Amino acid sequence: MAETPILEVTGLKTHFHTPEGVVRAVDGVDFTLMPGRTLGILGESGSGKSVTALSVMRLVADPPGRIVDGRIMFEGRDLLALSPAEMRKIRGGEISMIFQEPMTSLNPVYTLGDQIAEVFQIHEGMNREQAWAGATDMLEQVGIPNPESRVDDYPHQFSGGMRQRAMIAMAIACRSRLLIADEPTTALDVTIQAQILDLLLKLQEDMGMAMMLITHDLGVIAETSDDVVVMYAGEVVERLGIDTLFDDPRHPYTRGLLNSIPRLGEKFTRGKQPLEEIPGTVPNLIDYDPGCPFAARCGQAMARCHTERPPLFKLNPAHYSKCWLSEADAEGRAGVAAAG
Amino acid sequence: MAMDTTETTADGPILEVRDLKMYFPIRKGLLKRTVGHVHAVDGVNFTIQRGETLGLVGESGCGKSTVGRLLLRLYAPTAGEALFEGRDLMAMQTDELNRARRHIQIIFQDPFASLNPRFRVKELVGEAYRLHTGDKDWVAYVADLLGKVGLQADHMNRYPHEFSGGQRQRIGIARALALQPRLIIADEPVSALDVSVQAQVVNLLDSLKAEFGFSFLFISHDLSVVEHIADRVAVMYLGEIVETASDRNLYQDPLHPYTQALIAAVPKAEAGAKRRRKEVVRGDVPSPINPPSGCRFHTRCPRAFARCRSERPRMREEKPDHWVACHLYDEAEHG
Repeated sequence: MAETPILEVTGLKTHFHTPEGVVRAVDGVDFTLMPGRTLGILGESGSGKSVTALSVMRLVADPPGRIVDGRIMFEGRDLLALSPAEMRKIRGGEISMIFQEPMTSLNPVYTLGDQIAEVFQIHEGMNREQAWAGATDMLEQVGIPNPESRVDDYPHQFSGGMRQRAMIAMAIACRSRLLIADEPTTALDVTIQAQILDLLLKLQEDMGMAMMLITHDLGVIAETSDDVVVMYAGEVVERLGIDTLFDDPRHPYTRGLLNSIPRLGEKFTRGKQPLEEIPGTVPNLIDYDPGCPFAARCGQAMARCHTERPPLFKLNPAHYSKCWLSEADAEGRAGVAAAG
Repeated sequence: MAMDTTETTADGPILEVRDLKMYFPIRKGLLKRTVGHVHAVDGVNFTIQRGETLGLVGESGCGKSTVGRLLLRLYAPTAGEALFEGRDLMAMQTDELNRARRHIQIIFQDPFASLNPRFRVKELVGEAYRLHTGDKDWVAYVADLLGKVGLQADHMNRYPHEFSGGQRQRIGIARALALQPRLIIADEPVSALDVSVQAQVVNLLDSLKAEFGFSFLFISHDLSVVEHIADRVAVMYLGEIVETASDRNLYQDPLHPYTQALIAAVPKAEAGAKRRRKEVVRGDVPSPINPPSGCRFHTRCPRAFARCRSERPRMREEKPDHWVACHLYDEAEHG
């Protein structure tokens, strides 16, 4: 793959200044997303996955938040160097985003037609009539029945699944090249979740867009992603391909997550066994610990893990792990460049 | 642990629910006239054997939480019976109901909302025990109980906000256990927890059940967790139970098209899941205000035929102890 990445994030740090101290919500995130592929960002609450997405969109509220370090390259342009006006053109045009709860991102006093048509008017300079036709067309593309009449409806007249479809319609209206989806199906029932994931994959195939999909759900990652970034306490702890995630994960946190979830059918093939537990809870991000943030919960932690933060070790060009256990197998370190 | 465990009825199921219905009125206008009803629970039947864990699964709005709350009489049911050790909870007067309630406890989904922030753990867990038993050593009892749910005795002087979500759910579990109930109802007890903490609480519930031997109604939308924890499973859709069977039969050999769709829709956390495109059930869950005629799943069912639109299917025992409400199996029987 000699292609250039559509999105390349290096050394990203986004901190929040609160009365209790500095919250290191994102504290050293690196990843690469290739055109047309899906990057899954896996993490629990407080891992920094949503703040990473908001940082890429430059939507972190300042104050209290601030991107304090790092680079975000989108198709060769440094997003952090763009003016607010330039960034507005990119948002909704070239990069768009959908959220977990569509009701909070749709305006309740405008019809869906108004809200989708506005995207066309702003980004494509269409007149009102063209934009309305475009809006109806988009609703049809995302599988909303009777789009000609539903286009006049307000968000509250839609079900949760239909609202998420409408959000997707708005997000892809300008054929953006990168779609960021932050827990897009978490609020939905499992049968509706399956419909929405199916729709996202189909649209991605048709339009060739790249997707960054943020979720806490390993099943959703498995069914959508090509590459995966595992986040813990504001850091990327492991980067790997989807098959490697299930076949050869290296970071103890990734392994712990994989073993802690019950899988359908397992009970009948292997007999009922207790789930593997990860002891303790997610750390708060204010007290900065010099060691590995997972050390306190890690069954394999060594003395060094409590005092020295591991770098992101490169196991092969597609697999990185931020764990001292990976040092022996590593070819090099990320950021320091493989040569270093 | 000095607990009064008299008045047990030895045999028979611990709970038998018969034709339970709960219609919530929809009121509109100045005079608050009833203009319709939400058919939240519409004729539900199930049985929980002593010591058994029944998983009640379904999507949001199917009525599963309403069933749990009805069993504690947090709502007044529209119709139906719920025989707890042979006596109908739905027909009990206040005194009798209060006596029965100490044997039935509930664990809620949201440990943030279900613990009063102004009480210390000691009171949250021990109050009901102290009142019901008059035990002077109730503090020692609470300390012991906290140990059993994986907390420390000195946690008892703290307030709920000092705990993480997982720890708060442990407090909720200790509270439910305090009176050594014979039936525990858990309504989505792990859904609000982080993935890495869910396993801790699932394992805890499993081991406590082994130790205390309570019967268990586990209500959840999460099919994988229910499969892990339940002995038997009932699947609900729009206020009705559509299928009931042992855990193995329900998951390995689902009969109802809705159960099949539900299981197929669960995202599989395994390599190659993306390449295997699956069939997706279409449409939205219809409104429980005007539920579809006939079989309520017919609007989304890939195998629906004429009778499904007009006639409500009855529950039948299609295989030994495997019950399903679906016309596909009538056909088979009538040739």
